[in-house]
Amino acid sequence: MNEQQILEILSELYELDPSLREREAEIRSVINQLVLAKPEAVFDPEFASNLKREIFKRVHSSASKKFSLSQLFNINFSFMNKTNYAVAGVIVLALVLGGFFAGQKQEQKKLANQRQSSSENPAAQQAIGSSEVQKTVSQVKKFASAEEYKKYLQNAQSISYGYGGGIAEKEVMMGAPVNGLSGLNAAQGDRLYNPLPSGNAGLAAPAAPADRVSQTNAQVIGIDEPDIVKTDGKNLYVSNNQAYPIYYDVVPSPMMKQGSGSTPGIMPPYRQPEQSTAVISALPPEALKKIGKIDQQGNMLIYKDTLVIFTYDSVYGYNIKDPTNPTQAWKIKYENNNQFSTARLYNGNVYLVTQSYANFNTPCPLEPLSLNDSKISIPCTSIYHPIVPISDVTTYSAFILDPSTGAVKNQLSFIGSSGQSVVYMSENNLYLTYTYMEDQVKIAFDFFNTSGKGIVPADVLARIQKLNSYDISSQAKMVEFQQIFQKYLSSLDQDAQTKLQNDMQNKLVDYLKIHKRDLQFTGIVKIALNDFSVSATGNVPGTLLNQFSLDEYNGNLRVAVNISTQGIGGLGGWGNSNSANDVYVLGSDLKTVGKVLDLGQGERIYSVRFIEGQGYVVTFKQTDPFYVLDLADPKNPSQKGELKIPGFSSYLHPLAKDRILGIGQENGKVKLSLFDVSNPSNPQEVDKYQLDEYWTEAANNHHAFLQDQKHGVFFLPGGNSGYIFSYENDKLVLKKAVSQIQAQRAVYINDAMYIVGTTNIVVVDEKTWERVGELGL
Amino acid sequence: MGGWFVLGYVATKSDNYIMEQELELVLKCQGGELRFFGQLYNLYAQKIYGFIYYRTHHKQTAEDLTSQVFFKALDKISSFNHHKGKFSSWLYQIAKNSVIDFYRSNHNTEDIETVWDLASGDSPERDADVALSMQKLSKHLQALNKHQKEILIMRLWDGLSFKEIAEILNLGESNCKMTFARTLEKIRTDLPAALVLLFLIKMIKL
Repeated sequence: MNEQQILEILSELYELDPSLREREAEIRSVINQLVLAKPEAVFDPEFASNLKREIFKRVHSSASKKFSLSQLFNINFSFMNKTNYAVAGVIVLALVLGGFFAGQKQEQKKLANQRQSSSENPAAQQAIGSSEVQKTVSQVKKFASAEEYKKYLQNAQSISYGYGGGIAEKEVMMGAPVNGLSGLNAAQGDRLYNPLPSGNAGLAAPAAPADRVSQTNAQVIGIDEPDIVKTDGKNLYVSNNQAYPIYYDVVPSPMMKQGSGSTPGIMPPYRQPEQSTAVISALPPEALKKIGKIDQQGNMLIYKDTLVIFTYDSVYGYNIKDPTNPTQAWKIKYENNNQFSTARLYNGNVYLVTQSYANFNTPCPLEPLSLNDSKISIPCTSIYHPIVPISDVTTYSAFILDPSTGAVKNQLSFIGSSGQSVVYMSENNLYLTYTYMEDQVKIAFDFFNTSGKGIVPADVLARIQKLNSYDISSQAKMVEFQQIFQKYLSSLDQDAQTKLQNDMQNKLVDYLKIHKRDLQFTGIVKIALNDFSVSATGNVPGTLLNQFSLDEYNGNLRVAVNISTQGIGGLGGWGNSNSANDVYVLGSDLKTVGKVLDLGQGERIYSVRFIEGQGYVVTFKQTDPFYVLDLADPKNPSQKGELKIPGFSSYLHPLAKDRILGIGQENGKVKLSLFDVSNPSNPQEVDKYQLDEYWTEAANNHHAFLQDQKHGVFFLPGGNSGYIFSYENDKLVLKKAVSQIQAQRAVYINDAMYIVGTTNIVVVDEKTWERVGELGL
Repeated sequence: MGGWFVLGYVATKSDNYIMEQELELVLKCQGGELRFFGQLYNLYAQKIYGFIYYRTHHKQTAEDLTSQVFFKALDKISSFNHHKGKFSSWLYQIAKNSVIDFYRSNHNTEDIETVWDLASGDSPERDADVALSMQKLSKHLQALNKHQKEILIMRLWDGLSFKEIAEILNLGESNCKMTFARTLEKIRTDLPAALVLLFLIKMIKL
């Protein structure tokens, strides 16, 4: 990859999102590192010519026409020498040095401008760790006008440091009030051990004839999550997203699998990819039938007569009253670089969250969506923002949609930082998170001023300190910092540079031990469902694993985070020996009320599940410590028990009271563990089963898992097959394996379980575990 | 400014020229003149080998699969439809499927991502030096999903255009671009702040 190609990549990025230009140096360095990490693929010339000869033989034996070897391989087009591989390495190396300082001139100019008007920035002066910035309650509020919005974003480009959370003013949002958002009335204790209710409480079509219909395995009972297979109890909707596209059908492969046991020579047939969703009549199970088709594909939600499909750039509502002829009822398109973040279905409303990068060129009102080609706008005065300006601005928008019309019932936007975002919805609140970093120059200054004291002389430190106080973007500061540092380095001789390098490496390790919780944060925004307003904001150190890292219980939010000290590719670093995992309990105002720190030091979180007053955390390095946390008293959470077993679980599912299933891996194979947590201080693995499979989607995506409590079984896909296990009497017993269908999901209707694969649907009778129906897709 | 414009124009023209030449070769092969297949081999052998190597990290495997890809392509070249996409995309698809097939038959999974799972005790055989450097990278890629990884590697390692990537993965071109941009952003923002200091150390070493 040469400079020209990198420039091409950058210009493609800017075309997509001009605001990325602001972060060119960083993006360049990411690209450089990824390119540097590319393994060297040495194309053995001897192999190349042998293969040529093989092909030559083949052509010779199949073609009757005359030809010569030189004709076959040695006719040169001028363009064939276009790429010169030999020099690639040199170019890349040069780029790492050059690329890091790219855009420097522009930044310097900006810096010069800023200097003239810069004011001392008190927050930036605070030391890391003792920093009040992260802890200070700073309110979020809405913009008063378009001018204020514009000004804020302009500031965000130039001012940057950490910010805290606070309580929002509750104001009446625009749009019609949301009705019917009362709390869930199901008995809490019951629901937690009934992850898949036998009823279909208000979510599916009321006319469903089935007594029992499964739902997608969601985090919170009664709050549905989009997935690729849905059922209303009569029909299955299958949106196949796994087909590997290919332009041909069956290909004989002469060289394949020689000596292996399988049929040589024939590759499995590849189907022409189809962007569509199949409608399949599910009843009776013996007579599965494809009855309809929808020309869109993606995750789905179903509510009454509407099937909602989330494609990569749009949301479609299809009327499925007549499932043989679904008709498009509405279409929402993401506008202005908005991207799908997540969606939920609850109490007859679809909750949709989108995100987009923002920059000061983005006008407000925002227009994140269009419904049936007319733009939906969010006025400037409905956008929340932290009072303290932030950098790396990303706009998150949340909507309440009417599933039957697509109409937006309520909406809000808020400004957060770009970064990994996790969304969790409880019966009362929608929680959105994003990660952000402490200002890098602030950290650098703090490092040289504390653990790294003496590494750079006082005058250099003073310059860094001064730089740190400027009210300019962290990006501009970083460029300037690099220059200060580089200048100092070049004043040293080789010996001194080597010494400095070692000193820095050494001291950084010390520094990180102390400050590992001061570098990266997760911001949390809480949106009350009843009036759809931001009701609180807060932050915790570290990053979240996934939506299961968040859980609301008795008004408190429990958050499991990983504090990483791990380097990224090519950077090396100090390994992960100092990494830690913490659980925080935040009050309704999202202020920390209790915490458990340092679970599994040197390890990282593989799975989390909070169940009422307890929390279960699996961390992993070599063995799998399964931690039981007592969170009954939010102010005094504690680690109750710990169990060390081989392998790890990456999904935890409460099967029954005091019984948790862990799905994960041991020695590279899928492992199921059944934990007895009746005695929290002494959790036990009462049974385990190692599947002869290398991978199951259920380990990474809870939607692939299905529990049927009535029959005491659960389903998970593994490799190409689907597996149904019984968990009765604390024994994991494999009841049925459905092989060779590339199983993805399962649903049940009455006493029939439908295993949905990419190629087939197989129905098994849950009483006999016999196959009773089958349909090719 | 003017210079850039001219440069861009020339580049576009020569790209088209290459594509036309390539298509002519393909059409000749489809017409039964298979001797022209050798030139297609010359054009793509190294690229396809690289594509497979980045996904298997094992020389022997990559060579076996590269052979398969070209034999398959030779056998099935008449089924290639140039109205549906570029020849290169077709070839890369065969390569992608061969890799999937390799994992399916040898490791009971069609998950190419197995190759990144270096912690697994039963990980596929791979070249020792690559295994070492991949260990660092896999940490980096851990947080990314299948598509994000694939698009990142196709663009940055295989040097494929978004048009080609879109054709190979059967996704929209703008979707691929957006995913790529967001993946880079994700990596960038996931970078812990203090690592920048280490980056500086790295810089001194270079």
